[in-house]
This record gives sequence, C-alpha cells and structure tokens, in this order.
Amino acid sequence: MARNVILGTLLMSALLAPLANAATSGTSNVTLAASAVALIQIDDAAITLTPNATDYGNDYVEATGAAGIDVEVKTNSTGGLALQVRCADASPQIALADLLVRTATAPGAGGSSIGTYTAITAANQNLWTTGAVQHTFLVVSTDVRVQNLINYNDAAGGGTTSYTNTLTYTVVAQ
Amino acid sequence: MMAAVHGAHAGIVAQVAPVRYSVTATPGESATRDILLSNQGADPVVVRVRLSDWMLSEAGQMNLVPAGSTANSLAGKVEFEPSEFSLGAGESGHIKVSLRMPADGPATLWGVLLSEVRPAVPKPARFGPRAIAELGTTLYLTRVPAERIRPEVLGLDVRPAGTDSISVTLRVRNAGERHFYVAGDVAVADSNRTVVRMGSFGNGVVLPGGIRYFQWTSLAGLVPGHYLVTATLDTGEPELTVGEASFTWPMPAAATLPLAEDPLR
Repeated sequence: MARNVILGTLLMSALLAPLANAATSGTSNVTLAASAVALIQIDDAAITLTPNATDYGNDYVEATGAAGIDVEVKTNSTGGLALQVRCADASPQIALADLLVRTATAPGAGGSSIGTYTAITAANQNLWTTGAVQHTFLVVSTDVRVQNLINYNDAAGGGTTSYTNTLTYTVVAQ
Repeated sequence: MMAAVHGAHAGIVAQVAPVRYSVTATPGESATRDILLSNQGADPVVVRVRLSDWMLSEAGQMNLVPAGSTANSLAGKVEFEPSEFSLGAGESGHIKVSLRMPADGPATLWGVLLSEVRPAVPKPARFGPRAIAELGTTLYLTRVPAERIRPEVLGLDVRPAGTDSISVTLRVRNAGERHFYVAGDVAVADSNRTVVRMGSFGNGVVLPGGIRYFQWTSLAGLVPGHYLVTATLDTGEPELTVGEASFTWPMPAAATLPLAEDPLR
C-alpha cells in the first residue's frame, strides 16, 4: 500500500510538472509595426555673408563647407528621401538668379545631388537624394554664393544694408 | 574661396511620422489618417500645412508642383486640420487628414502634405539666407486593391561606365492603375557561377502608366571573360521576378541585352 502511494505521488508529480512548467514558461510574440519617419535638423538657421574688397572685385561672395548651411536628415524609409530647397519669398531681397547653391555632400545610394552652383528657384529643386534608408543623421552641407554684388546698395547714410532671403529645405519620400 | 562669414545660428529639429500613407478605399468612401509632427528643437515653432502635387521622372526624381496641376491630383479629395498651429520646444502636434475616393476619374491619386516649420521668432540675418524646414507626408489614394498591380519589366541593360566600371539599368513599367514599389538586388557571376559582385537597385515607386529605371553602378575590377548579371526584383507580387543578362568583359561597346524572366518563390 505504501508503495502504491509513493507510485501515485510520483505519477502525480510527473503529471503536474509539465502543467507547472506550462504555467510559468509560456511564449509571447512581440511585433513591431514599423512605419517610415523622417527627421530634419537645420543646423544653421541663418548665415551672414559680409563681402570684402576682394569679393567685390570678384563680384561674388560665398560661404562654403562649414561656413555654409548644414542640414541633417535621417529616415527609416526604405525608398530613402529627397532633400529639396527653394526660396519662396514673395519679394526676394537677393535676386534668385544671384543666389546660388550647391552641395559637396555625396548623394546616397541610388541618389543624386546638385554638385555645381545652381541658381535657387521658387520651385523645389532636389539638392540631395538617397534611394535607401539613412539611419543616422547625415549632414548635407549647402555652399551658398551671392553674385552680382555691385547690384546691392549700401545704406543711404553709410554702413551696411541687410538683404535676406529664406531658403526652405523640404524632405519628402516617395 | 572663403569670404568673411559670420557665425551661423542653430535652428530647427523636426520629425514627421509617417512619411507616407497608401490608402485603398472604395468609391465614395472616406478614410481618415493621422500625421504626427514633432518639434524636437529648443525653440517654439510655427507649422503651416499645405497640399502639393508631385511628379516623378523616369530616374525617380520627385518634383513638387502646385496642387491641382496634375491629372492624378488629390486636390479637392483631401482635407486636413489644423492647417496652422504652434509647437513649443519638445511638443508634438497631430494633423488629421481625411481622404475621399471619387467614383470616377483616375483610379489612383497622389500628392504630398507639406508641413512648413519655421521659428516662432525669426532668426536675425544680415546679408545672406535664412533656412527653415518642411516635412512631407506622401499620400496615395486608390480604389485598386494591392493584389491588382501590373508591373512589367521592360529590359535589363549592362553597359560600361567609364573604363573600369559597369552600369546595370533596369526598366520597369506600370501597366496597371495602382502604384507599386520595386526593390531589387543585382549579382554578377563569372563563368563558374561564382558571384563576384553584388549590389542593390534600391527601392522606389512606379506610378500608374509610368516607366521607371533603376541603376546600379560598380567598379568592375573583373578579369577578362564572360559574366552573367542576375537581377532579382520584388514588385509586391507573390512571385519574385528574375532577369538575366550576360556580357563579356572588357565590354567592346554599349549594348542592350535581352531579358529573361523566371518566376521564383
């Protein structure tokens, strides 16, 4: 009888053990429903170009490299994104034909860039594009040139006159 | 040449989620979506929202054009609110977008909702530009189900690129009424079937009725001989499409090569 009890106890243990395990080691699926986002960081919200005598001799002034406008972008969109630029000012103080931009930043995979000075326009132009994800912030540097300096008069009483345009950097994905 | 350039001013940090919505709706049906715009910068900003049309070149360049100027415009079929709002530092705001699928006209419409983000207090500038940001959420509205796409691969070209590189170009046509995306990989194998170069065509949309080409360029660095280029494409259909083209290196001249297609799982 005693042996039967032990056997019965062992059987119960054997039967209960899997049940106990099932209650404490179940599985759960974790699903991430990812969607594409884009971020833009305008590092230089405004730059000032102050022409010197040499610049007036050349009839242009420019801000290149670190002195230009840095814009950072990133996205998890598999199709990448386009960084576009325009000047939509109703009355641009610097003539659009005199305000030139380019970037030395290499385009992303399957992308393109404006590598030579090109006049800004009121419509968006693709400054830099990538056809792939950009998981970390990438700095896209804009070199800025203002030409025909002789057309921009100084203040009537001497000193300087401010001429400022607003550039809009747009990020879009297909 | 570096002229005297004064210091720059730190600016805007903003995020849009998502960057794309693809909405399938029956004619007359309305759908609502939500766009989240976040000001991750240290200063308050003002957001202005507007709709724009866009066109796509065969090379995949997106060109924004005024709303209502294309045949597939969403103008008049989409409403959004608010159209203007302010966000403090670290704040986020929602834009509610309502789309209504018409019963007639093009079966697929597209556009982009642009959220212009500018500082609430403009940065000072003297002689030079200011910079502001704009983030887009691309919208597709279609009454064609996703399983009724009609991709057609038109060809696979292998050409020399300069003296030391090869360029592989894939041309795809959308013969259907719904947009689809193409993603593709390319591999170059030698006569022993050993893969010697691999790459990706990237990923991009092909609009209804449109043609799009995808290009992959690689330094060849190949020993003279015969090679096989295999392009494996995912167009969203249940089966992958495989295109093959062979070439001899060095390549004597540019040549368009035939495409062979095989369905793969």
